[in-house]
Amino acid sequence: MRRALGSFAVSAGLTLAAVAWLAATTAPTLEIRAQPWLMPAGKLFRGHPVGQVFECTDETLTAIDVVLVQQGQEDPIESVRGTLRARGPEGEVLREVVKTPETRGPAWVRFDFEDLPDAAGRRLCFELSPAGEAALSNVSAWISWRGKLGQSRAWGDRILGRELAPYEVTFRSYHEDLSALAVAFDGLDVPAGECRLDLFRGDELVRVGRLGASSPLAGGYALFTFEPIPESRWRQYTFRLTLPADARPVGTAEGVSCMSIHGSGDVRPELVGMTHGAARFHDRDLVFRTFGEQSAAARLALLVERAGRVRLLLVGVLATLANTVLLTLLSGRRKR
Amino acid sequence: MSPDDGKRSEHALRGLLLAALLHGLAYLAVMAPWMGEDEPWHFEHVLHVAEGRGAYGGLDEVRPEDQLWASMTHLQVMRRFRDVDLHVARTTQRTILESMRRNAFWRRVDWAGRDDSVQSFDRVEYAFTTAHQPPLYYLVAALPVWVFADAALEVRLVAARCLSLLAYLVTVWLAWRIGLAAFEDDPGRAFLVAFLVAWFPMHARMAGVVNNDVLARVMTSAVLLLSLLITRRGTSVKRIVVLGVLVALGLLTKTTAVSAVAVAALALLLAPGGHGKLRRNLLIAAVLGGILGLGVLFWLDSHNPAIPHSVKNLKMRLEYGLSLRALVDLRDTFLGTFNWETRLQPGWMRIAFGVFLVTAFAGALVNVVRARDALRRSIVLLAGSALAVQVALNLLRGVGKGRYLMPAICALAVLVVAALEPLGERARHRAGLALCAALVLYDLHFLWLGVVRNQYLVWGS
Repeated sequence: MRRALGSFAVSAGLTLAAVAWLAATTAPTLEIRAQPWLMPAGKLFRGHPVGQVFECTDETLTAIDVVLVQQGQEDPIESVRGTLRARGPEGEVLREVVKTPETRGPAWVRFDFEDLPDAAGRRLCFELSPAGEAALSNVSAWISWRGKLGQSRAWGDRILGRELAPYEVTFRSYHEDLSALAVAFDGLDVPAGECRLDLFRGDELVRVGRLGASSPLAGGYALFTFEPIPESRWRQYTFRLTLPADARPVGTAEGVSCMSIHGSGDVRPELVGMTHGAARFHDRDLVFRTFGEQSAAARLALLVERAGRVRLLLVGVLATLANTVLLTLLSGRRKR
Repeated sequence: MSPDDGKRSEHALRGLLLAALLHGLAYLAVMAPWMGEDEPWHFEHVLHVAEGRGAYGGLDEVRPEDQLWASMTHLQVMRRFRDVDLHVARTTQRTILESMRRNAFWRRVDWAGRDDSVQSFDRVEYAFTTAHQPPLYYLVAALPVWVFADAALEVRLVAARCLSLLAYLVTVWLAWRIGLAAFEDDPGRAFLVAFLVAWFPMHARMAGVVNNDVLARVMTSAVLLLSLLITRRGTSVKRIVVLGVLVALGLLTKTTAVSAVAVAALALLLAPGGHGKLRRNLLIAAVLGGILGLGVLFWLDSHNPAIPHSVKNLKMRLEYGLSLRALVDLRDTFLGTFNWETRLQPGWMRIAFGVFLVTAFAGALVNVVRARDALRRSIVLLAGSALAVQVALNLLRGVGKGRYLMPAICALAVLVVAALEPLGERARHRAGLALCAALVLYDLHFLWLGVVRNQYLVWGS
């Protein structure tokens, strides 16, 4: 009996220690976790920051992580400026941090800034731009589309020449609700001319896709969006691109690299959407996550809310009893 | 074994089974609905069987262009089941998808996308199904689901998961018997084998999910036990018949159980006098080959993606399977992954586990080389072969999934315990206790910092 009581005390202590450890670990409050990361937003241009508008869920906001990748294997890793603004891209600057990523990535890069108190419920915008004087940085953030990715042709190994224009691609849509096509570009000077994607079914023009942004793009995907096509499943489509003269689409021998996107998805209301220059998008988000000052008690309360008190208690009791029986058996074996 | 030893041994077994029951229940309680890998698809299959829809005899043929009127995953189900029309296929999937939405599936599974308004499984994973799977598991799992026919879907899911808990306990019991058979009826080492099987968290976690892997593991463990007995005591008509039946049941459960064929064949070769009874053994091998052939034909006919259907496909699988990446993936997903293999254990832990496995295999190898008696060598060889075949199957299939190694979990436990053999008795005892302590601590870390944290604390937005 004493052995069993001793085993119980040890087991209960171990369970409590594990729970305390769990409560002590930090966890992001808002986080875009969709994987794999497939869609680079493109290099950062001065005057055309890439950002995310969100409603803060932390009482005190302490840090924001963003997934970054340094394009170009030869160049040194460049610094990035992270700017936290009130409300949106035009709001006042609340915090500003310059950060040099430790690796080429893609990897999470932390922007630690002076704590922002009373942040809960406030609408904020976090923007990325080149840190130095250069007009262009080789660093790119990543986009997470709210819908479902369909077929994709991997990022190609060549820049497709002007002679291949209008870069026609014929594909079969595997899903319904075709709502956008993402096309890979080494360079696309959007302000220089019309950027349009014409989508045909047979000879019939069914949709015209637009970018919705007027910022230049380099080393990233341009998303041509249009009204979703509900009956798109297993139908064959062809798209043709109208682009400024110096556009440099990326592709393979097969043609231009692209992805189909289906639906637009519902997300937490705290995620307002992504920004690029002056444009705002409500169909995509920056791959980012936020951290706040959160007590162990608050984390436990969140666990109880999501898992349920009964479930957590049951798991704790069962795990403790299982270890109690086991330790009683093992200590008995040792005695003999 | 003296009567006292026998009594103590039975007492230890009962205690371990009680501990395993509590341990399995903890995992059954902690696993959120639909968090077992492929669970929605397995449960869809179980549901169709439980609701009395006839397997086999659905659509004669599915053409790609049929997707104009039905999604691929609906067509796959309609091809398999006689009484499933588009309305039934749609309604069943929508019911499950609704429950997945209620239970925050899209906030936990990072690769599933962010759109939780989907109406068919195709929008979670295109053209994925379990409709091609062999029937045995679904027939058995349908029974508890049928009993709770009027209950909420989540209750029926738990009913099906209870079968996995039972399969887990049977495996622990089989592991104990395997330990006795492998280590000369020594209850100490049998206890360690059964404990490793019961407490390895990725295995214990399977007590709380709907998946045909759980029954495949029971079959392969039973085949390993019988094979060890044959290696020790020789063949008999009864043993051979039971062995054949178990192998066939394994093949009727899942392709991963095909390793049982190799283990059974090797046991017949290693059996006392096995070489002398060449004609008879050849005949038995032919029967096993026949069973395997029938299994392969059945799998081919049911469009099983585990079987390569072209040389190009086989080449593609081998390219990955023979890469270092595949072995690393296999190690990582065997040690511990969460939320449908989207979240891994920390890097240092994965490296430490790799070192542990290499040490265990080296120890087992030393044991084979240094073993004085042929029987000990044969037993380690049999367990090693069971594991090697399971690894090879994984890599030949072009996947690196730890859960596909679970049919060989008992063999792995035998190898780990065998690796301790070269140590002296006292050192072996201490090493065994240290192993137990390490596994108890790892299991706690896995449960709270792994499963609970990833399922309930870290959610995508």
